[in-house]
Amino acid sequence: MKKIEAIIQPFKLEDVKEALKAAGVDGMTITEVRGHGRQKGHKEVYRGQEYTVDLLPKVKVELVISASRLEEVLRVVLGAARTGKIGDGKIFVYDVAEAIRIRNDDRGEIAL
Amino acid sequence: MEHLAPEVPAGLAVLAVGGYGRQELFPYSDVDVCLLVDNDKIAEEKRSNISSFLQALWDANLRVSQSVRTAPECCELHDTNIELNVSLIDQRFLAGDTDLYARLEPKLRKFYENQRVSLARHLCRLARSRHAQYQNTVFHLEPQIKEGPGGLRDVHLLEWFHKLEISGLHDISWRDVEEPRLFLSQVRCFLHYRSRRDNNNLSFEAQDELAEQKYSRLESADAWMREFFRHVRAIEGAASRAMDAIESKHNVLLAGFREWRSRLSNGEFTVSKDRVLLKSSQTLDTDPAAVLRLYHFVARHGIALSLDCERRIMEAYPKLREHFAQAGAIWPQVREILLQPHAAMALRAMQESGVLRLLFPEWEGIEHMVTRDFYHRYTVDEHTIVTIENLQKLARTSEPGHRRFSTLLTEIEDLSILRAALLLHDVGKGARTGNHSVESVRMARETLERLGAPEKAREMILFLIDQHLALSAAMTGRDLDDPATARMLAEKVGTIEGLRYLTLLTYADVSAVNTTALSPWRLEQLWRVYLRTHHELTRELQTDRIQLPGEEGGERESFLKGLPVRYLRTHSEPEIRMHLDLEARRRETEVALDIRKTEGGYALTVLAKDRLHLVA
Repeated sequence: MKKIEAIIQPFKLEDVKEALKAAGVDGMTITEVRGHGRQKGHKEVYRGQEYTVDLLPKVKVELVISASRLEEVLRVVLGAARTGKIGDGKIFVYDVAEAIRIRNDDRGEIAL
Repeated sequence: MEHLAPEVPAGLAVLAVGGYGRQELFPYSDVDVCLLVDNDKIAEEKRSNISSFLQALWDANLRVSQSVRTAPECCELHDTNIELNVSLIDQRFLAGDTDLYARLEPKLRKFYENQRVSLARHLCRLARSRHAQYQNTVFHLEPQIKEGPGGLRDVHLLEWFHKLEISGLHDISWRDVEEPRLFLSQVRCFLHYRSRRDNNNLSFEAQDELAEQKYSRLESADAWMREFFRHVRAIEGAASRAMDAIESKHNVLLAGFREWRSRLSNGEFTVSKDRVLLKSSQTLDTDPAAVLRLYHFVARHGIALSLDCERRIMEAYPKLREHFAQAGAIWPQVREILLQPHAAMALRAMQESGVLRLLFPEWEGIEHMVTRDFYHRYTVDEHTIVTIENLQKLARTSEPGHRRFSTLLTEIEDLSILRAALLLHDVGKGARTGNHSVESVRMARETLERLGAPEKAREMILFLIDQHLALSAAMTGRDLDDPATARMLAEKVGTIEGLRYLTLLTYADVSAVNTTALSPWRLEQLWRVYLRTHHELTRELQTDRIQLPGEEGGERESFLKGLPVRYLRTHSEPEIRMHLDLEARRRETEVALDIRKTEGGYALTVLAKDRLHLVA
């Protein structure tokens, strides 16, 4: 099993959700996060005063899938989240040791 | 008792305390008992008997909550465990050593006599912090019927004050509380049986099921919840009045402040014990319009109405209804209330007395209205009043993330426009058509016309209501770095003033959804939306110049022609008029100056004909 953690632009969330749903991925966790990558925020000018906005609002999407579907799901997320501009975000992939459904003790991929 | 009695013929008694003591056990309530022992030695020696006694109770499926105390322990104040003293207020003898109990009783009575003030204040402190956990409002979509404001715990609070013989609580009417208490008790029994545990949360599903019960006599969950809120409001009102009376009576500082506030009394209203009273009992009958002056007084000074005053409003209600049905253009009076520093307090009082409904009949549709969605925590009317309260709080905030919004608040032209828009932004939800913004605009238009609001104010209020979701939608659904987003938003808001109003309205609206809705994330996104749109509205665009048809035109047209389009967006009508006057002077004197004091500085306007190196 693999865990995909995608930090994306907030306005791309609906597109990513729709695309994942169409690909048969239903379960996910969404968090509103703030942070910066290589772009390190940017400068804003308001009424002649310049100030740095270093933590930009983003959305974190987390999902766990069967390892066999990894490339397919990554393509779906990439396709839906990309604008081609700076600030599109990042995707991280992790190995998952175990998944357990709390309700009935199901373990492994069946619990996803 | 068979476990205890043979072994402990003397020196031990079992008392029912808490809800059991009050003889008010609910199906899955804890059973509170106090094991009264003559001395610690007996408790130690008979430990195993006591254990098997408690075990037997647990085996009988009772959830026992027990304490073992000597008489002196029962009669000392436990500052850190005040609940023990409180539970003993309701004590009742069950079994055991009657002599031991007979010795305790007079001591306990004396203890409560001596400590009544201290205990009452402790009870107030506990109740206040309990209410704060529920944001001090009864109007939750899924209320907690025991601990929440207006819940059964508040009835107990009143009963404890009564048992402690606290003086000065004449304002409390037990008749007002008795019916709500029975209603809530039935609901609590239902919830316990329904979930087979001590569950006191009135969930959406439970609301549906309760409304369907034969005894509910109400046709829908909506109607049932309105009935529910009517009852809990009565309890909460009585509990709050009792606590106010106790707290202010025994607080020297507060008493001094109260004394000072009584000087605010005028020809019509008296301030006494930090409450507003009508000087003449006939006022509202002979002059129903005085009711708006009364609420203006509340909005200005932040002093609540006395119970007597509330009753007089209730009595005069038919007269008031008649008056407002043909009152006509009373916008100036309504506006004056909306402009005051404590407007939310007055609106809340108007809502509670039903006067708000007389002013805005559309309000009735959202009164105590439950909307079932994942985010909202309060009823629609409560959400609306909380938006205005949060806007008041914003003016005093010191939190950095919020301060930039409070600056905007100092820059808007007319606070009454923003507050009126907030008051009416969700009234359309009452129509249940699926698009509440459109309905709210339609209803607000009728209301504002009837009240005689001037056209300019009316247009801005209707625009704000119509667009009240626009910035929230952009926060999550639009690419804020895309120039097209800024252009779209700039087109929507039209002017800097419109942007300021809409940003503040969005701030207040989101913050009143639930206590965590305005997260740092949303605060940042809202500010970004504001900034992008502000830049778009203020940036210099050579191509965007004011074009006016024809060569001929008045002074105004020739002045405006050729100025950047943003000039009209960034300047209010009074400013434009001032510039026109300045231009008239300039024509005589070549250069005209205007300097005036503004919030935190001076604004200097210079008008001169353009030439090379003019500002070099």
